[in-house]
Amino acid sequence: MTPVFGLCEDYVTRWAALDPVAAELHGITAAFGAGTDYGPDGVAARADLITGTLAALASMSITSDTDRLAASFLRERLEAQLAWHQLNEPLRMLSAPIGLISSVRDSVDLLPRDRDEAWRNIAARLAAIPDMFASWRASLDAGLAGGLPAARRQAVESAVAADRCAGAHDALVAEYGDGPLAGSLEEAAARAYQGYAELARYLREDYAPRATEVDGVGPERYAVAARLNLGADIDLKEAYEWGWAELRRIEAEMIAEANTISPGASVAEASAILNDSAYVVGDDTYLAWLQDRHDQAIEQLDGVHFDIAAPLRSIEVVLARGSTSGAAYYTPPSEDLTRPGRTWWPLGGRDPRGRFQTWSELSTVFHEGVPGHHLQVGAAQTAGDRLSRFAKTSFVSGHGEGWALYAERLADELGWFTEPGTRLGLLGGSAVRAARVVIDIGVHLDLPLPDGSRWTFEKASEVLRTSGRGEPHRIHAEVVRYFGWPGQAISYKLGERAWLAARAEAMQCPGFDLKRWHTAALSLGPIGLADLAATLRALLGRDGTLTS
Amino acid sequence: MAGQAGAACEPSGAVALLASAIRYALDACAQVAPGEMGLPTPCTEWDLTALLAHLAASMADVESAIRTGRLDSEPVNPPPLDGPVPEDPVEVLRGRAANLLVACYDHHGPRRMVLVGGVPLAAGIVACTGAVEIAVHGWDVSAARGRGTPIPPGLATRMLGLCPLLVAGREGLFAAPVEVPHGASPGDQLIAYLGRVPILPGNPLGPAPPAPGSASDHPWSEPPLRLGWAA
Repeated sequence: MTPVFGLCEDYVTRWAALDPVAAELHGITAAFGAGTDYGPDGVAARADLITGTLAALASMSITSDTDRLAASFLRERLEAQLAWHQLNEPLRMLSAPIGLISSVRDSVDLLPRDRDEAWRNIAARLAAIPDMFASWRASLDAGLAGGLPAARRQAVESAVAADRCAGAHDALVAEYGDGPLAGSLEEAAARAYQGYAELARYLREDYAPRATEVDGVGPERYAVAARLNLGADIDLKEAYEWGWAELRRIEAEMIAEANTISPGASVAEASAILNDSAYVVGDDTYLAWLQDRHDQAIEQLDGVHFDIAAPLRSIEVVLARGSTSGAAYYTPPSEDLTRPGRTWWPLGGRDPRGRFQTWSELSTVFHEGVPGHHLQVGAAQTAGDRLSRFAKTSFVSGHGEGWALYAERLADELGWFTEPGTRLGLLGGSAVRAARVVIDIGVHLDLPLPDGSRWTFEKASEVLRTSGRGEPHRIHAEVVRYFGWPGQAISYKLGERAWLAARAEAMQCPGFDLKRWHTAALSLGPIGLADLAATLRALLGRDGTLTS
Repeated sequence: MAGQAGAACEPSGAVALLASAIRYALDACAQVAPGEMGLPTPCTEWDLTALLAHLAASMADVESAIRTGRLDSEPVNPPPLDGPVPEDPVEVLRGRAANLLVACYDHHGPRRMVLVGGVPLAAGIVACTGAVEIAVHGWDVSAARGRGTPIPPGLATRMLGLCPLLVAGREGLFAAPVEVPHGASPGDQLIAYLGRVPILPGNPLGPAPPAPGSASDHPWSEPPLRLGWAA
């Protein structure tokens, strides 16, 4: 192992010890830690680790291209994170519905549960929840004392998220049965619920009154957040204009597609027709449909457009009954691959008759599964010694979400949206992602809409509903999310744009081959968008063939 | 635009009271199982489905009043709440409670007035009235499930102090107060004051019956929060 790879290894190990909750979410195999210290001391320890690692990296010599890639990626990520720390963001880190509360809750569900020791760990994590939240409150209080309030909307919505955690671990505890740890697990779950309840009280009654009513974070904080999510410093005003143009382009395509469903039908009318004709009924049927479509995608792609490593040829589909965001999501396999990659599907789209629309969901199967997140993240994890441990366990949103959106588009290019309405579903998803670009940048930078009006929560909801064609049951949660998680919402479309540009450039080479390009793209592991095209160019060489 | 310190936005007593009432009510509602939605409630015409819908509508009314500075004499039909799992009434309530609190924190203050039937009332009074409504209906939910989880003493004591102000002049709209034994808890005193029969030791657990001699089928008359009476 080279010194750079050793440093990456060391960083991951130390970071996992300082943040066991995030380590669990990233699938890092590490010594068990009950909880994360979100208080000022814990925050400082993580910032110190970043500073120390960057200093060590600066003194190391690079011995190969692989080393160079690992060092460059580590440096870029840590510098982005350090900038985030330097703005004291951990002292106002408050976002819903995806945020620290959902991370803590999900980290319990992801723990192994295969033996008594594992169940003891689950009890320890549950019992640690009140202390974790107490440490978080200490940071939030320090932020308030230092004049760094988070947005009030996020405080109140986070309280809602905490409320929803009442009973969230009951099914897990019940799964253990009546073994010797049953009492400990029940007691620990009760403590966890007290922790959620006290947190909800604090957020509503102590924090919210002192929070700021301003939702936007402003240009300085947004630039750092965008860098963290994209791995690039971009021209945000150009991206804002591009987002509006993209929305118009997609709208025109949707109108044309609606016409194929029923001649003369509007998009809304076509959607209504599809809602009554393209669905499955019942949770189990929905799960089976999803699993079948995931498996089918793997079967069709493997060996043709990608070489899929054996451990990645299966994905576990899970119904996310406790999800608060309304959006499907992916959790990676553990480093040792004992925990499979999973896609999680909330039930919010189920109508009162128990119907799940399939026409609008198919593109998300390709996004979360294969060739999307599962293939990309899994390819990094099975890369052997070509990628550092840091790269294998990291995720750059612009790179990852951009690839997942590219995966949806690739599925379209491969002609996989032949069932009625499924292509309209793809375009609807794309419209939502374009709406995210204009809402996120517009709200946080306080840019005017095309008609000169200003952004508000209601205006953002309206744009997502009308231009973005967002599903009604997701509008509120989506907009709350954009307001509380600056820079993340843009990563899908801007990431897709970067991937498409990189592919378009590669296609100019005489020896371009799509499968070879995909192989090269996945071999990079995660990388900031700023370095994506140049790194691919170096890897593929002038004639488009792999140089190594 | 960022970084506006919240120090100038200390909570008023009214908003803090409302936040506590919301916490109590949501705790009660979170316990409701899907199979219990048809249970009768102390509000005799309503089962739990209707009561939760009413509570959500009340929250939307107060939010609208605080946000717009006016409360129409006829209750408005709130727009559907866009959020995950909209068919789950407890989820709807959580969303409405979040919106209400944001509105109250953003728009409260000693000079904030709400026009109620054309008459200006302090926004704090509207928020306190909403708090009482929410807390008492939270108790109704709990009672319907046979629990009768008491309104916390601190919250109930503050509300008892406010009730004469909020209820005076509305006698025709409420059931008559119910007598409670000396030494009854503040929570029991509060719900008895508002025409409910507390679940006391010795009383069988179960939905509390409506108070005898009730002037209305529902002890907290409809539409909720019609404050024109106070002018």
